[in-house]
Amino acid sequence: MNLEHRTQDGVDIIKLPERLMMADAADARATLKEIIEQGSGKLVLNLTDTSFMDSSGLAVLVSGLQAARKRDGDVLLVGMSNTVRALFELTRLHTVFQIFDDEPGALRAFG
Amino acid sequence: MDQEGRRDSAPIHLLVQSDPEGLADLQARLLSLCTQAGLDDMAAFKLTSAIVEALNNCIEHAYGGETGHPIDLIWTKNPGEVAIEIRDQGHPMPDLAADASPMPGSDAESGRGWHIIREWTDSVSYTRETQENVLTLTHRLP
Repeated sequence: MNLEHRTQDGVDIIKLPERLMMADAADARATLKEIIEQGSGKLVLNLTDTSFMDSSGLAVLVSGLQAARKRDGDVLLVGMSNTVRALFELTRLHTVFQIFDDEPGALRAFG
Repeated sequence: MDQEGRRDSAPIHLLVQSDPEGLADLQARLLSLCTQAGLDDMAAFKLTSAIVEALNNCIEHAYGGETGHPIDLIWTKNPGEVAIEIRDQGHPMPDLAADASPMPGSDAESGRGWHIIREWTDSVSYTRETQENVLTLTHRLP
C-alpha cells in the first residue's frame, strides 16, 4: 500500500487513504511500522481523505500508536470527518489518540 | 415488513466472496443503499460500518480467512426499517449467539467489530439454518 509520506520538523506526516479496511490493514500496518522504526517515532496521520474505516483500520492505528510510544513518540490524528470521529467515540479511541483539526496544530503539539 | 407482511420493495441480493478486496466496492454500494433508504450521512455511515464488520466476521471467523467462499447479503426495505440478512456457509459461532462480549480495552488491537454491530443497529439476531449461519441486522428508518 502506498501511503503519501513526508517529513517536516522531524515529524513523519502520512496521509491515509479514502478507505482503511481489512483488505489494506496488513500493508498499512507494515508501512507504518517501517516509518516509525526509521524515523523519530513522532507521527501525524492525516485523515482528510479518509471517509471510511473499519475495526481493522482502527487496529492499524492502535498498533502504530503502541510502536510510536515504545520509541517515546506519539501518533497524532488530524482532519477527521464527523463520521469517522463517531467511530472513534464509539470505540473510545478518541480518549487514546490526540486529535487535531489540521497539521499545523498537530506539529505545534509536538513542539 | 408491515403488519400485513408488506415490503417497500423487492429484496436486493448481493452475493459476495469471502475476499477482503471485494469489501471496498461493496462498502460504497451499501452506503448508497442506506442513502436511498432515507438515512442521513451519519446514519448511513453507522449502518454501513455495522454491515462491513459483520462481513469481516464472516471472512475472518466463519471462513477462517480463506477466500473464495460465498456470502449472501439480502437487503430488504420494509416500512419503517431495513433488514440486512447475511448468510455464510462457514463455521458457526460457538454458542450460536451474537457475541455480547464487552468493548475491549483502549490498547487492544481487536475485538471492536461486534461492539460496532450491536451499537449501530437496532437489532441483531443469529441463527444456524442447516449448513448456513444467518445473521440478521435491522435498522429503523426516519
